[in-house]
Order: sequence, then structure tokens, then C-alpha cells
Amino acid sequence: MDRFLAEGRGALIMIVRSRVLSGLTGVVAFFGVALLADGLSGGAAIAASTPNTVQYVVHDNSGLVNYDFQSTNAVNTNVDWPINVVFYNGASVDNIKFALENSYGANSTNRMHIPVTYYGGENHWDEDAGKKGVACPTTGRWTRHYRIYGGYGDSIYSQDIGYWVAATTHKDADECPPIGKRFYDSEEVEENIAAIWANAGYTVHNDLVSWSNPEPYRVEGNHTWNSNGLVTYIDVSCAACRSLR
Amino acid sequence: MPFAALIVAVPLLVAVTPVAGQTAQSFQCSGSQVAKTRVLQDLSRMTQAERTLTPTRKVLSSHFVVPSTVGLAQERFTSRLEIVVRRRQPLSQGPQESSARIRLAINDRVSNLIELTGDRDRIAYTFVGLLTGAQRGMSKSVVTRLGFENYGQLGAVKAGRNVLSVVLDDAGVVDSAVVSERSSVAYTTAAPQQLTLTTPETMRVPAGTEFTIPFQLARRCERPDKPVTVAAGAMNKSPSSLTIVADAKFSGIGDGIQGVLRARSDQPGTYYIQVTMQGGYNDQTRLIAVQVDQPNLESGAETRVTLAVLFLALAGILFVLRIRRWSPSASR
Repeated sequence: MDRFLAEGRGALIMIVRSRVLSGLTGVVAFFGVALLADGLSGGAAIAASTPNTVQYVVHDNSGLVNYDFQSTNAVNTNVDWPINVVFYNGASVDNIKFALENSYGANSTNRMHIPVTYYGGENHWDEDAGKKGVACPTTGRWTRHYRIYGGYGDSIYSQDIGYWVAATTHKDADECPPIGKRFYDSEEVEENIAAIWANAGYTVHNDLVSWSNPEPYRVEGNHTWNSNGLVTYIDVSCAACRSLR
Repeated sequence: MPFAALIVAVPLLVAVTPVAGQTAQSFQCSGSQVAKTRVLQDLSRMTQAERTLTPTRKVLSSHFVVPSTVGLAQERFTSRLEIVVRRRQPLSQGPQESSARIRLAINDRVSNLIELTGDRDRIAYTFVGLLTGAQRGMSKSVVTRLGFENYGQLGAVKAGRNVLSVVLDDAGVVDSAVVSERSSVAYTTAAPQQLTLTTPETMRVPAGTEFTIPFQLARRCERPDKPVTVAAGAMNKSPSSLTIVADAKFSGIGDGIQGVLRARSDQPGTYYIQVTMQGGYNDQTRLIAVQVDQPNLESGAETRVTLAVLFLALAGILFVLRIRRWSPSASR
């Protein structure tokens, strides 16, 4: 598939260089091939690899794996991004998305997957496309993007931290048209989300717990890793805090 | 949550494969273990007006005193949230205006959370807890009654003065939510985990034939028996030709149940089957690695082909020897 896509993009460059591009047909062909290439890749980063062990992280016997995955295959050659934010004490997928709507109001369409476990047993695959600042950043522009997982009840309940959900973060760039699109900087988006909650008065524990998923800076295809492996914990219940909306 | 408490709550890391938790202890049911529960605080002293939450009055709170928590296990405090929700009419269609959540907390530690979403005709709800598992439902009524009991967060209840609060957040879908006087905090002798499911960790079966997956259910008997369903599904979806033939439903677990699920795979390979028990109290799931081998019939055929080749070779040798015996040179 990668080779096929690379050949597709090579053909695209040839089209760009041809005289056909001078007319309307060329423009249509340009976007058509670009969108075809994007469609074939699912609009996503090509599956990335990590040297780290893919493993469950549990609170009180319930939890999820330390990475999300491009498909329902939990192996370290099929990962997308490391978990780096946990919302706890009254969190659910819906209420976090609602709270962050002002900064992350656009829907993504590209679903990732993660196994969730309850009471020490492997339970099911959750999925989420996530929320972004803008739906499709044009050439030269980028946006922040998170995906959030809470299992079949949209929230996991553990007696040590209450209702909790976990998120992966990154930036998307150059997605429309999808020529040279890139995905990167999960650490910066983690800090951005933490700052949004901290500025409203919520308790934020930056980089509190290791989830054994550090990813030093490196480029892997269109996927640039940069994550310290320390997960930020955000307490979302606070009567005296300012509303994020 | 205090920082120190969170440090105590540092999560555990568990390798994905092999799967942990397969060797769960199986509970014993003697019939004399029925739990005792003592209500520490309910809302019966509040008027209905005081118990009514609206988009402009979003919080109610009640104080209660626990003289001492010595001898009380922190994991056995429970909280119950019961509400009667009146749906807003008409609802706007925008997703931002059509949701609400109601949460009960003990000293700001949330232990009951109900999510509501709605449109013009109905309201959908979701909640999850250690006693109920995840529950989803939908109501077309203007008024909907909801409620569930859950175990509280560790350390939420303290000796001395405590605060029980109920909060209505983002009331887009709700005109009012009346919190029942039965909403409460209690202490129970029943442990959070009431049920266990036991299965084999690995199985080896031939392809093309139906096989059975044995399982065992047990309960502590500290709470009343309830119906449960045991179901199985393939964990690895591609490539997989695994077919689960039957699920199992039981009206109760009684003193324990041994049962089987039936499955079949036409393709050799390694499959992961998750077996889930739902509907009682705590849901349970186990993962089984199933090695599906080439069918015995096929390997028998290989043996027969090998024997046939040997026989043919022998026959060939005999034939050649016979020709040489009857050839003119041989007769000379």
C-alpha cells in the first residue's frame, strides 16, 4: 500500500508538471488524484511503530492500552499516538468534548482504536475520530487534534480516581489538499489542553504518571514522534472553577 | 483530589499479551453471606423544591457526619443517585444545546454520573458503575426516571463532617431534574466484585469442526441473584473466519454454573476469543487464545497419499522386476 501510494504521488507530480495543468482538466485531475491518495491512506498517518511495549495501564483493575491503533490490532507496528492526557473525577468522553468545544470544535473523520479492559479482563475495542481546531488545515497551516476514549460507557469508573477517560494528542498539517500532510508534536497539544483547564482553575497535574510510552523526537514517514511518556492528569470536577464554554 | 492521594492511585502496567486476570479467584456461595447495608445520609429532610435542579439552580448539597471510619473499609461506601428528569421542549437541534449531565459527589469526589443527550422527540441516557456495568437507554417520555447505585471513590468519606452534593451541568436537554429523597450515601459489607467468570486461557481445536468453549460462573451471594448473559466474540477481526455459534443466558447463577459456548473456524490460525459475562453486577471478560489447526481429515489424507505413493512405488519396482524377468534377454 505504501509503495502504491508513493507511486500515486509520483504520478501526481508528473501531472502537475504537464501542460494539462494549465487548464481546468488539470486542476480537477490534481485534486482528484490527491483526494484518491488521501482516501486510500484513510486520511491518516501511515501506521507507525514504537520500540515500547504495548501494554494496559489500569486504575483499580480497569483501564486501557498505552497507545491507540490504526486498526483493531494491538501490536507495536500498528500504533498511532501514545496516551498522554487523563481526565478524571467525573470525566466522560462527551463532557470533555463539550468542555473543549471552543478550542477544538471541528470533527475529525478518521477513527483510531484502543482496547479497554474492565476488572482485569480484556473487554472491547473503543474508537474515536476526535476533535480538532479546524477540520482540514490548508497548505502551510496546522491544527491541534485529540482523540479520547472511555470504553463502552463512554467513561471508565475506578475507585481510585472516579470516572475517567484518556486521550492522545498531536498536530495535523497540510491536510487540504493532502499533499505532504504531516502529523506531529503531541507534547505541545498535551500542554495546550492542560493550560486550557489550568487557566479556568481546574487542578492539573502536568506529566504526573509514566505510562511507559516515551517517544523521543524522530521522523517516521509523515508521523513525527515527540512525547515524554509522562501523562498529564486533569481533575474535571471543580465547583468554583470558571466554565470552559 | 489531593496530590498525595493521586500518587497513591498510580496506575498499574499490565502487558497486553499474555492477558492478565485469567486466574481470578472463584467465589464461594454459602447462602449465609447476605450483605448488611447502613444508610449514612439520604435527602429525606429536604423539600422537593430544595431537591429540584434547573438550568438556573444547578447545585444541591447536604451535610452528614460520620463519627469514625475506623474499621470501615473505604472501598465499601456506596452512593445512590435517583432523579426524575423533565425533558426540555422544544429542543434545539444543535449538539451543543442538547446534552446534560448530572453527577453526585461525596466531598467533591464523583461516584454517580448520568449523561443525557436529546433531540425533539426523545432523551438518551448513559451511566456506568461497578454494580451496573454500562447502561444505555432512550425514553420518548417528557418525564424520565433514572437512577443507580455505585461504589464511592476511595477516601471520599472521612471521619467528621462530609458533603453530599448533586450538580446539573450543561442543562441543554433538561428543564428540571428532581433528585429523589432516596438518593443517599451508605456503607455495605458487600464487596464491589460480586461475580467471577472463569475460562481456559488457551485452546487447541481442528479447523472446520464446531468446538465448545467451557466457562464457569460464581458469585459471592452477598447480593441477590440476577440474570446474566455469557457471550463470546472474536477479538482479532482480520483475518478471521471465526463464527460464534451460540451465546448463553441464565436466569441466575445460583450456587455456580458451568456451561459451554459453541464456535467454529474454517481457517487455521491463532484467534483470540473474548468471553463476556454481563447483566449481573460487575461485568467480567476473559480472553482465550485459540489455536485452530489443519483438520484431522486433511492430515489423514496426507497420510493416505503418502501410503499410496509408497504402494505405487513398490508396485513400480515389482513391475520393472517382472518385465526384466520375462524379457528375451532374461529368457536366454
